[in-house]
Amino acid sequence: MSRNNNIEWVEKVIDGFTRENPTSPLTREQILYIKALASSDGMNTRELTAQEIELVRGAFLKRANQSSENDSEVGDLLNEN
Amino acid sequence: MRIKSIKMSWFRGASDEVLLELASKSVVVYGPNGSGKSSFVDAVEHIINKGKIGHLAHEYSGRRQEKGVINTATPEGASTSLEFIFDNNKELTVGIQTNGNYSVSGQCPDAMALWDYRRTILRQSEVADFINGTKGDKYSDILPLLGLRPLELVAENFRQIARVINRGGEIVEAKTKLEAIQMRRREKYGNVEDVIIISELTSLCKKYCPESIELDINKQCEQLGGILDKQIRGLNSAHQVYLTLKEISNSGVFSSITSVRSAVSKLVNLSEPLISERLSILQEAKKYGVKLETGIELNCPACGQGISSEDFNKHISSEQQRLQETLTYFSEYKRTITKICDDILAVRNCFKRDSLKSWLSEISLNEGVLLGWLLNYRVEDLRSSCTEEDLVQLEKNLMPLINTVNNAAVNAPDNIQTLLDEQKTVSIASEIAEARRLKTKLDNISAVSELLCSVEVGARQQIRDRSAEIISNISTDIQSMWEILHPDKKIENVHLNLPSGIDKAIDVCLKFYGKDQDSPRITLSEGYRNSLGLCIFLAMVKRDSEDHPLLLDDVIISLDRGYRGMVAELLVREFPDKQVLIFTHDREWFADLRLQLDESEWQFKALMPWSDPTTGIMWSAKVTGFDVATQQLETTTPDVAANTARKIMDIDLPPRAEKLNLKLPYKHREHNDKRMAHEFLEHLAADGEKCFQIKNETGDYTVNEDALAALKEADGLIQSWANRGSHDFNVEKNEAKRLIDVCEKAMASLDCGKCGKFVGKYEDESAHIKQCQCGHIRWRYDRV
Repeated sequence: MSRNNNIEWVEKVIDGFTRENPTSPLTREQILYIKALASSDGMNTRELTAQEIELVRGAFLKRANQSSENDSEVGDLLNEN
Repeated sequence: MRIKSIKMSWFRGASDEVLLELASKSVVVYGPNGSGKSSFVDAVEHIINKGKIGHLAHEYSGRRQEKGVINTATPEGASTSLEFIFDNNKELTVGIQTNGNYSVSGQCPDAMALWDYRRTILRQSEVADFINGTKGDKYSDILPLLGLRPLELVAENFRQIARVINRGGEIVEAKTKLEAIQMRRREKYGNVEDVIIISELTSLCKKYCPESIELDINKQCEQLGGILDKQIRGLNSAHQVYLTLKEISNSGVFSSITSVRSAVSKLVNLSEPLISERLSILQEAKKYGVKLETGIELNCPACGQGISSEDFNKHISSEQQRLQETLTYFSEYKRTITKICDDILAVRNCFKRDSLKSWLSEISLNEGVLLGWLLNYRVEDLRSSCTEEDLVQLEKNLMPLINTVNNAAVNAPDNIQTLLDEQKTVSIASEIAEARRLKTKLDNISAVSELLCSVEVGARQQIRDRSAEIISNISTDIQSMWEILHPDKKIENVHLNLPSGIDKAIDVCLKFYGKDQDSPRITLSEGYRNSLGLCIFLAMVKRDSEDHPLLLDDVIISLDRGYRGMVAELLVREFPDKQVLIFTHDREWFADLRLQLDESEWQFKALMPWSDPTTGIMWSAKVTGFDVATQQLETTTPDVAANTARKIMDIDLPPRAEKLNLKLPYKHREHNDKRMAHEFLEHLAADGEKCFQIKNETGDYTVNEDALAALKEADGLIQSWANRGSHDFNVEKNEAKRLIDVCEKAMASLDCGKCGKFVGKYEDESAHIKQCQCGHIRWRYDRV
């Protein structure tokens, strides 16, 4: 299944989430990060290792602490790793 | 991709080099039991499954199956190897060492890397595996075909990330910190808004440092803290004593003890019934799991009774709520323990202050002992375990001491309490920003977690939606294949079904004589189940995107002869471009297929009976099998050889007679299927006088006298010598040899001496003629 094929349904899911949770504290960057993550090759070609899961968790927690920061640089976090 | 040839050396039943030449065509290989057919299938499996062969996976085959894979008679210095040449003329070679280790080399070592065993090979023992498997097994089996593994991975990866984020230590730490801040705040202010506390802070700023009113809260707190500390340091020694006594008096150790008891009581009340209920649910869930294995479905895993999905979901939600409530009380319990420990430490620090030394010199001896107990008390032990005994001891030892302090603090001037209150206000206000930061962090993590869960749920929904579509297509194929195999059976709507409300599950449903059935195992016989299993396998092979051959190893064993014939039709119709390798020990089916399948696309090969590991797998020079009979003249007794020749005639003549529209008198019931070679030879020879013609030198057709003579001679000998061989066992070697030769000649007489094709190969329906490919011989079936 291609990456593009994934993006379509991920966008639908995320649009649905933001519509149902208008007061969600997530920043636009965080949402884009999850979107990029769901569509990344790293997520849909194999099971993530514990180290990678920890990496993603760290990235989310970092964003939780610095919610207004620009997250765009982590879009391809998994692909880089 | 097609296989051009397979060569095996000292692998399984093979000795020194046995070659299956395919010329990239499909093939039907006939071989009696144990002749080595499956060794070719094993060779393919060995490569696909990376050195493992499923049926050899047992304790006796060795760690790397070396005891099963390597021919037991492999001579010193000889090596076990496999060689595949593909239609691109590139080869893949496998060398297997004596310890089972193997290496792959050649020009295309990865040629078979993407071949999926379950879409490439079907063995006799595996035909009904899909039907007999659990719903989960079926789902796992079919998942690769759906192309949805990436979605499965996305769902699972997001589940794991959400789980780890929810379980992360940072959340627990942030929650604990936030709860402690909120508790301190509640003690002084109850449940008030931030604005009330900030308003008090502003009043203090106006009182002590009006210039800081414009600053942010943290800076205001910093300035006020410094001012209040300075004021405290400036107190005289008597007021310093009062201040410390007031702090001890305000500590709230006893209310903390009460809070711990209250939290324990709530926990006990909730936990005991909850744990016992959890246990009963586990017991029922265990029963549910056991029953699932046998394919019986239950609606509710908790109580085992049928309930609607709505009620079931409500039940689950309410259980989750209860567990959540219990978790809340557990967290309150932990918080009260933390509070009591902090309170004790604060009190102990107060007693250690220099300002209290003079006051402590006047306390009683007993109070001094109690103070000594407090100063040596191991607070950290209390954090890990706090029992009722600990609480009683704390009350017993601390109460007299703190009562004395309370009595002494009564006379403290009002400004001392005011100072402490102001200090507390500043301290609580200073935590507002931290509380907000922690709350934002926790809210954010919770939102991230919810979004991750949404993505996981979305991925699972996608899997269901896409599965439903693909499974519908596979179901259509299964049904149409079933109709080819069993056109007369009232079994309809055979399809794969995704049960509602269960993820990762698939089942096979059908309509049996008009009635819906949830499983083929309810009504179908073993033979029909195998037949359905074959349809399901082939329908799934059809969906496999990889281009590779299909290997069928003795899969029609439980099908009736009529249905077996349909298998070839099914393969030709559904897989016209696929290379198919059929291995069978069924001589009748082999004979049928030789007449049924197009020789430009198919090859036919026969194996000799296997004699020993040194001789290994041997090809028969003739697909007819008469060389096997000839070999038996030397290796067994003449009557066995004669019987083999007669068996070949018994098996090979009926499909030929059928092709020639030979009319035989109807017999009672199954006796029609038990006709012997004599009857066919007799009728072929009799009808042949009018029907069997050969083209002469002038181009005219005349009666095929030579062929008729051969048929009659064979008939005569079969009636005498072959029957004698069968009943009296006293056929002479020369008689048996003659019988074999005559039978072979009779069979050959039905094939064209020029093109080699059977006289019934092609038909001109309008002229009622059957003929070979070149038209040199023909059978005019309208003449009788």
